[in-house]
Amino acid sequence: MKHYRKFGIASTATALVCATFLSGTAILGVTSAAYAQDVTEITVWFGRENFIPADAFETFHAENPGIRVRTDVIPLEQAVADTLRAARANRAPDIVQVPADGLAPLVAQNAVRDVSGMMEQWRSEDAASIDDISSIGLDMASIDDTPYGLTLYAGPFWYTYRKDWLEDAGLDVPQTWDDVLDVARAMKAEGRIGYSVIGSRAHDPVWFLSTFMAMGGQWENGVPQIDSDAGRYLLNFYQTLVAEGLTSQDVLAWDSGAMRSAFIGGDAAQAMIGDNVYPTVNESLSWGQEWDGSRPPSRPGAESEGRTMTLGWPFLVTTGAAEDESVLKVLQYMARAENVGEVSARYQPGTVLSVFESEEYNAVKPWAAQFAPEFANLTPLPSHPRQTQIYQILLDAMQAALQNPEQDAAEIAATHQAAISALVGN
Amino acid sequence: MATIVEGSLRDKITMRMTPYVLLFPAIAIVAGVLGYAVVRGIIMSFFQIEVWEAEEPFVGLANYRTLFRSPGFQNSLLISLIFVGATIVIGLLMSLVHALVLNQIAFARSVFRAIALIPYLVSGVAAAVMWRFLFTGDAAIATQISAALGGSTVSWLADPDKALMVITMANVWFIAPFATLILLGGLQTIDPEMYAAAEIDGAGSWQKFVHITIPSIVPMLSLALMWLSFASFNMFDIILPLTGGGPGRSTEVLAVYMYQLAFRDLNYSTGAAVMIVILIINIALSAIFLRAAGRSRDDR
Repeated sequence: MKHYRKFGIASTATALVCATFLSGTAILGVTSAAYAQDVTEITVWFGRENFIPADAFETFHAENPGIRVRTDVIPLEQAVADTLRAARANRAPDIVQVPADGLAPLVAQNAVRDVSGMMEQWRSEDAASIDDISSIGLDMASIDDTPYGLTLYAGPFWYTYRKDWLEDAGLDVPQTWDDVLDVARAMKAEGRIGYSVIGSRAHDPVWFLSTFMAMGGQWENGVPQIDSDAGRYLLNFYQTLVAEGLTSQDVLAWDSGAMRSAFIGGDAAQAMIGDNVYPTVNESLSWGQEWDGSRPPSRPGAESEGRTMTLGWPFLVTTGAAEDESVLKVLQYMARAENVGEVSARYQPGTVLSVFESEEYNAVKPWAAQFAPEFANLTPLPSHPRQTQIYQILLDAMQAALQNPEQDAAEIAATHQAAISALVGN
Repeated sequence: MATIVEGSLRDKITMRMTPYVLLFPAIAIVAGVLGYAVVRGIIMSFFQIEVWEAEEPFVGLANYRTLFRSPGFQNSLLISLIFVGATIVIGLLMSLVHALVLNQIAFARSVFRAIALIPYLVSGVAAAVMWRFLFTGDAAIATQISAALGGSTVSWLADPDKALMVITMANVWFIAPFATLILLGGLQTIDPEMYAAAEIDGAGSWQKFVHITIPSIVPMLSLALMWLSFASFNMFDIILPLTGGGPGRSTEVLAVYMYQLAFRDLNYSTGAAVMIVILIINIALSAIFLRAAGRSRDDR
């Protein structure tokens, strides 16, 4: 009898708990459903926290009560892989920010969608704002003229030098890479590092490719042609740096931090430094007096072929994203000059051209006006679906040149070009 | 009478089953997490899963054939064998010496034991940064010492041979403390009366070490060897931030090679094939060490 009573009490308690849980769930479900009916949720994966507008979409939410933007930070390095994984589980965000060279794999896997219609609607609604975005803003988010999103931030590397040291030595600002070597030789004679460069495998070879493009390097179907005049010249340039002791003797272990700190710390005279690092340089050195920058020099005899390469981090619309209208509103909000200007002032430069004219932006980045014309002529880093594997071969070529300064640069170029060709199936 | 028999049978079953029941949650979690990954990895290695291809065709052993013909894989395998071999030899000797010393210490024993474990408690990336400071930059201690002795001032991490030495030293520094702990555990189980008896028989220190200490800790030695080998084969978090696999590909061990393939090249299937190769090597080495320990026990 006692046993039955106990059982009865236990059953009642269990039933109560279950009932409470079920009714709670039901209430929650009803509330969520009601919320879902009224509010469209747009998830945006940013590649770095710094890319998120300072107001964290507060103004957007006030203007668009029917749309809720949820942000998350998925590092650029893993954004492509994570998006693909999420897409397979139907959990992909609506908008994802990736490095521009991550677009091709996402298109190949049908993980991002054509936004031509969205762009046409934008143009019909507000042509001025879309025309304010430089051409690379659209190009870097497109493949074969099909847009998959929008690039609002793009970061080039500028040739950066110690203005005071060059003036003291009576040297002109280099116009060619041969001039860069001459400056490096003069600086070495004064006990300085002539040219600071990354030689390790710590990063993708984007500094190497930026120099290659400045030297007139060409790509065919997204494949860099290092077995060319520009490629051989580039490899020979790296070899000369080592052979003549114009760079650090530890160059093979130098990552971007070592390369930059040599310049910022007053050890190196020249380097290729990203626009986003300029504020940090300016904290230690005085712009216009101690240091300055310019578009990268060109290869002697190939001045017309030199271009300034830029990296970009497009916002792409995924295949399973919410309806166009909400996604477009979010893109338009992120592209507003005030938002791009705010992010650009503290981080990577933007592709919205009017930002370069704003007083506020120029006060924070006094060098911006000097580079504004060049920003309108940046060339995106070409992309190939096997980009990451090509990068490994380029790192091999770069390190081969640094390790073997006496070897024929043409031989290094030919060997590694053959490896790239074998990889891409040419 | 019948009740007594039934009760004792139930007790017997309960007694026998209890350890398995208690172990089940742990086994289920390990099987669920690790087992799933391994099985999925094996399956993936038989398909061509590349991020730039929409299709994922079954290719059988093609990934393995491609892998074993690849100069990159051959290089990584060779580097791994050198790296693991050197780590095992140096790591085992160091941890044995440390364990013997710690076992002898009477004053502040717990403090010294805690200090000896510190490297193992540091995260791999933090350890890599510390080692990087030791070997790069003008103020690098290693460079300063080398310069003072009239040697080269080039960073060891910029030299392919020396870079391999640096990652081996860093790896030993990082993983040997746990091996020390294993061996110390073994040393503490040795009955002191065995040493006393040996002394009465006139045995010296070396004879006691060879004939009592080593045979008594063979299972622990085998365990320490297993730990050192598989921790080294899987080592990744120190090497990547320290050298990135360079200069050239001189420090690109199998784990780093696998990471490059799977997470940078997004070539999942070949990356999975490398994972299976590492797994097979680890299982084979563990079997060898366990067998050797078993044989030694049988001999005794």
